Amino acid sequence: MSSWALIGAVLSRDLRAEWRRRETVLTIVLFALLTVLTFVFSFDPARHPRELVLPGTLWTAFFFAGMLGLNRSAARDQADGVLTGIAMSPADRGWLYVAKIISHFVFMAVGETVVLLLSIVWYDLRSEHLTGMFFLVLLLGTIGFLAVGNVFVVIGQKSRLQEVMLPVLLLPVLSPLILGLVEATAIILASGPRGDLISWLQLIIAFDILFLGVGFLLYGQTLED
Amino acid sequence: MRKFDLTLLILAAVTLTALFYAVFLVVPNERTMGFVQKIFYIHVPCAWVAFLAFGVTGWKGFRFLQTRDMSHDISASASAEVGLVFVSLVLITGPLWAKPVWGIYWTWDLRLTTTFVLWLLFVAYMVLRRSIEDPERRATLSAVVGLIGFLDVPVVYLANRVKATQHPAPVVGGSDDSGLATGFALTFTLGLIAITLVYFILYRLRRDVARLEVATENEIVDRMRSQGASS
Amino acid sequence: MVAACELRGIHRRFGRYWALVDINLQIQPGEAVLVCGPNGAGKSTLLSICATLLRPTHGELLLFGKEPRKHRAEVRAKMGYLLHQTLLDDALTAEENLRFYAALYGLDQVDARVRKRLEEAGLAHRAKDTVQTFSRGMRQRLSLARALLHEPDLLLLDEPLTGLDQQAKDALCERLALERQAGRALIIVSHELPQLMGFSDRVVRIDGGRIVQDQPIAEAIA
Repeated sequence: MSSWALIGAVLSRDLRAEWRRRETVLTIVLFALLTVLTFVFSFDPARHPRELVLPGTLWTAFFFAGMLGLNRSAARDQADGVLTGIAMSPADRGWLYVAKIISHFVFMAVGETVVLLLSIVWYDLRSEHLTGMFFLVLLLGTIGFLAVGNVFVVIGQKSRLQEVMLPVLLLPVLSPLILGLVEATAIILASGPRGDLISWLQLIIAFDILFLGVGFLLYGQTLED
Repeated sequence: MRKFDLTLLILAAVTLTALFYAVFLVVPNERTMGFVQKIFYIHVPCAWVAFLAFGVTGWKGFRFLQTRDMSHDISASASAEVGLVFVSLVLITGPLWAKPVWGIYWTWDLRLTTTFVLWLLFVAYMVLRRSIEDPERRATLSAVVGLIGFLDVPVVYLANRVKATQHPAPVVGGSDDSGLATGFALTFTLGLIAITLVYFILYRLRRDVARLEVATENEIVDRMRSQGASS
Repeated sequence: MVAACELRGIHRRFGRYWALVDINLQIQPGEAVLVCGPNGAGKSTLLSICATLLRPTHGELLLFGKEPRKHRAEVRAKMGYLLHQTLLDDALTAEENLRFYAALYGLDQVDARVRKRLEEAGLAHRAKDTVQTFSRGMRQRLSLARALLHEPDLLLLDEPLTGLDQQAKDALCERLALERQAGRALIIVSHELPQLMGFSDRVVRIDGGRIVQDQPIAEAIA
């Protein structure tokens, strides 16, 4: 069976199960919403310029919600031993990793869409802000997050601290990505000179490529018993 | 004590003594920053050593994944413990120097941010290790984290470099008004050697103690087994 | 003939507690071995090691003559497991679960295999129902179907009869006897001996982490 077939099968299982349970997506959407709401109360959009507050708000919401989503989904996989079943099969670990990233990307995309819609209402985000470049940064950021997140979530589940372990491991490692994403998003939203944007994009892309590669190679080690 | 370690200890003692002599008795107070600048001779080597320690942890973790030899894991862990001490020292001596010189304890510039993230990575590594009971699983999972963390450090550096910096122009290598006067440079090199030696001694000590612990535990447990005890 | 499963000098400890001491065991292809013993004797630990879920502290494990760590995919393709956990996603239907595992094991002729196993398990009429709606007995049957889907040469079962009513137990034993006839090696951990002894070749008794008895069934009964 080809790698595409394997990815397709894992993806279809993840999406189908999620469609019926809706736990992960619900977790992500709710938590992202609540995070943005907290920021709205912390930094009144009327008094704080959107370009300053929104980038950080968005990425904080996405990443914290994303971590909860990863934990929820991994806990679910552990519950009936599905993760064990997967780990004990001969399936290629690298492609399993890729499939996981894709399915979680879908879940996060739902959450991100909801947040963006709310931002249009709460922060007066306009179509001129939602450019192709904006969505590119969104895409790259989510991928980078999931590249490292999917490796660390399994590690976390295998430790005594479980869900708590994920943020402890993930946030320090993601810090350069967060920095790059917030800066890039700020530049895009300000619609001003695009000077440094290229540097930030290069950084983000480099992060993604590096950690996708490392994750692809190391994911099997985390499944190993 | 083995000859190698004894040699290291003597070398370290000598260089450290020479260092303190040089710092307090030979090198004059720096023009702009004054007496406080002398922390620099400890602070910077500690920072470089902290990064070295994390490198050792990352590398040993990689070697463990390759060979499945637990001694690599013991080394990785030892280096992380010692490294944590050094990076904490950096984060303590830094603000002590910064307050009189800059007027503020901290700023999120290139070096400080990178060092702080390094500290977080050390802590994350240690927390993970303490959170897994089974030795083999602990070794495998912390090797993965150590490796990812190690690869992350240059990325953190690059990210912050793209961001503006407030750190004074590097005194050793780097920008225009860098370059130490001979007296400063020699003392600095002395400090680098001394602190690196201290790291090596502590690392080897910690590693040897850990090895002894594991060997003793194995010995005890093996005896319990041959006595037919099962609990 | 290469043994399906071979344990040489296997020891396993948890902290200072030795769960298994000096286990030497060989299971030949097509052989059904019953592993029994009191609670806490180490039966499940032994099975976990055979399943490569746990690493031994000392000793060597060979599956089909190969080291599992070095030939991971190859070895795992030939092994099936029926454990305490069903390894089934209860949001998926019986059919979807089997298709998923077919993909994990890289199988061809998926439709035929899935249909065959569902029929064998007596679940063909519930193929489109989610596992959530299944009883314990049905889940066990589906889990066995999952374990057999890729035609493994070695089947590992951990207390397969637990929680089943008499009818379900009979059905399961019948199935296992058939699988043994089909040439699969079976390692069954259980303390419900009588029913399982009917089709087993050998019984191995473990107590205090050591093998205290390893006899062909005929001798053991006598």
